[in-house]
Amino acid sequence: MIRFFLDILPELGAGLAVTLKLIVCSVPLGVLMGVIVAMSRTYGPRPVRFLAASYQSVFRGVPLLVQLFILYYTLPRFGLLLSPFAAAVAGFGLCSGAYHSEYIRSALLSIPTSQMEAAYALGMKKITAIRRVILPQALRRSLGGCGNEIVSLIKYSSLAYLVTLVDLTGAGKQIAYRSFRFFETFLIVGLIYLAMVAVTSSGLRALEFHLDPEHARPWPLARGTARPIRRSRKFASKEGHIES
Amino acid sequence: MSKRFSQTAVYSLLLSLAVGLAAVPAVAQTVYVDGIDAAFPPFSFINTQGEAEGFDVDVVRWIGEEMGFDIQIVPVDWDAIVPTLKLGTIDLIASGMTITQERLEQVAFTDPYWSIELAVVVRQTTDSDGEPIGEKNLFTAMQPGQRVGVQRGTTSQSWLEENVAANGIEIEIVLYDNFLLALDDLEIGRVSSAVMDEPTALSAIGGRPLAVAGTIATGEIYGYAVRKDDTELLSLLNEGLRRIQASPVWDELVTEWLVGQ
Amino acid sequence: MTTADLLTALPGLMRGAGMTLLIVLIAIAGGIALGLPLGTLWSALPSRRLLRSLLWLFDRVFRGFPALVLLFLVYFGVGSIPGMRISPFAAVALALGLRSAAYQSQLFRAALEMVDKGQRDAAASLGLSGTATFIHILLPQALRFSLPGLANEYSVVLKDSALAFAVGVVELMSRGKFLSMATKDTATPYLLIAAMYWVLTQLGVTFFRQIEQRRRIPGLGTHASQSRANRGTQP
Repeated sequence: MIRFFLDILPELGAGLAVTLKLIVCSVPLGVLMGVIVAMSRTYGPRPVRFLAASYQSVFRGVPLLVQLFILYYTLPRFGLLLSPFAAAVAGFGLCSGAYHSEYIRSALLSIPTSQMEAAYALGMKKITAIRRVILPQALRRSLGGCGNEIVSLIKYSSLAYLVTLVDLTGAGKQIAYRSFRFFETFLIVGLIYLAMVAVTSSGLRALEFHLDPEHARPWPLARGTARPIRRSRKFASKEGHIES
Repeated sequence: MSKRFSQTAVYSLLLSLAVGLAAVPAVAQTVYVDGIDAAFPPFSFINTQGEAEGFDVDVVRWIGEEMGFDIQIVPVDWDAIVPTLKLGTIDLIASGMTITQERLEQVAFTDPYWSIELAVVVRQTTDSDGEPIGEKNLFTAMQPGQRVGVQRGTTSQSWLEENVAANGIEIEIVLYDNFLLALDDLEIGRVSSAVMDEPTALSAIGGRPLAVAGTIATGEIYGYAVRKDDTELLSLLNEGLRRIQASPVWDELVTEWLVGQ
Repeated sequence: MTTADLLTALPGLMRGAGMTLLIVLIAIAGGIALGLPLGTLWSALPSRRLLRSLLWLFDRVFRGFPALVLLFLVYFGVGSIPGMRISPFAAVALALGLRSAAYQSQLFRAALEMVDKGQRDAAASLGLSGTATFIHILLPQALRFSLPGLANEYSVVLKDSALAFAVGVVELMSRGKFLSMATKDTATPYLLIAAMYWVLTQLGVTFFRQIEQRRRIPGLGTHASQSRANRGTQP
């Protein structure tokens, strides 16, 4: 099995390189979309809010696979020709953006109104207040959920082979069908994804802990362990949070 | 609440049972499952109604009737079709499958029943006289840097890999789930040519601005595939092939599906 | 694609949608059937090392592997064990079901822990046994807390079901692909399928919202809407 693993390593490595490229390009796009849409939905005028909500509804309600096909095969009929890589990045970015926007939006809503009032009292305009007071706090609070979504993106980047990109899963598939050693190949592929997920997960949780100890999930324990919030004395807040 | 709990428990149990039953293979001897490529006209494809149609579909159905067994036709993702056969989910593959050395190591084939060549499909343009011609010819389509689309897991893919790429001509082989998607991309403009079985090319380019630039004479022959140890089905199919080819039905089907595209 | 084509295609598409719903239903039901006991176990036995490690491993594998890889692993992996045969549908149901169970075990665990500790004390003071407390007091409340998470799971499994053709299950997405190739139209079928998936998602969301409304306990809502287990799942 080790010999087999070494044999397929170069091919998997090439696929992994494509996967990493995809992830690196899609994550920022997703977060950016998330911020834009969340802000639009919270602070925008009626029509903008409607558009933002529709975007969320569509990109969360339609499978990523269908989105990819439409971006790749349907859009050209309407004049927009995307390369396989561009289509994949667009698909991943737009889809994860919809999820990011939800986390960011709930974070924006969870900032106490007193913050806004205080900002006004200091003479800030609404835009400045949002930019310098609300948004940084919201982004910190949404780290948990957004981190979650980034990890998800790593996993669903495996769909890229459907728009002719040979990513890690695509390479694994070819190897498996050629060699008939399915279990080993897909196990190895899965473990590589798992490694990426674990590393990213830990990194993000460390980031979360450093930036927002109050709301950070306990680290480095198993993901999702629900424990009472450890209030860091340094950042103790004066308001009462209703935390369960 | 306790009633709802026990209700939920019963339903979960029933559902798990259903899953378990679904995993038990149907061992009815008289039904064979035929795996096909869902988008490989004229040999096998799914039509607008969602029903299987095509030359191989008709032949296999006729053989089934003649030799006394039922046929169930299921579409399968093509590059997984041999593993699917070996796994037992399907019993035969009747879908314009070329007999190759590589495949012979994994499965058993019936006697050959048809031969084809590969065709190179390109976009259509008009020449100076306003006549439609192919944008590229066989030579210009295989230049370094050209993107050529093929279906994953087909002889077109292996031909390109062995005869073009292996000889140092750096074309980019783009892999699709099936040939028709490659043709879609050809029309869109992402690849400069697509290589596929000739009958498929002729069947699929109708009504589209595409043309066959030329053919590659690979001398490929089609056969139906079964598992290596399934000698019973193999002999049934071979006998059935003999009979259908001896009957007028063969010529009818050939005329209907394979001639005069 | 002509209207006539569309009309003839509709039955096939509906069959695909039916298959999709079947996959989703079975996967989620399986997820609940396995996830609920697992979640309960996890929250009730925080100190059993071996059990926790096993659960942790299960969780890691089924949440760390992409759904597509899980599908291949289950279908081809189980199938290549000599003597075992698994149908594509069963493989999909199993892979997605186990994956859902991993998520749902987290969901139920968090939901159970969210139930106010005072409830347990009150139950004890009334003389209720552990099991009775669980069934009559803790579970109903926990289920209410987990509803948004379940709605999310429905949505996730629905979208993963679109991958099922990779192992040979003909569901809505593959029907759409067939249609596109039969009509040589790369726009209408895919857009139609997207709309159908959207409708299916909305149906699920409405369904869960209905249940939430009907089973709502006034006063319990504030906690649930701010709970960490449901972070990001609110509409």
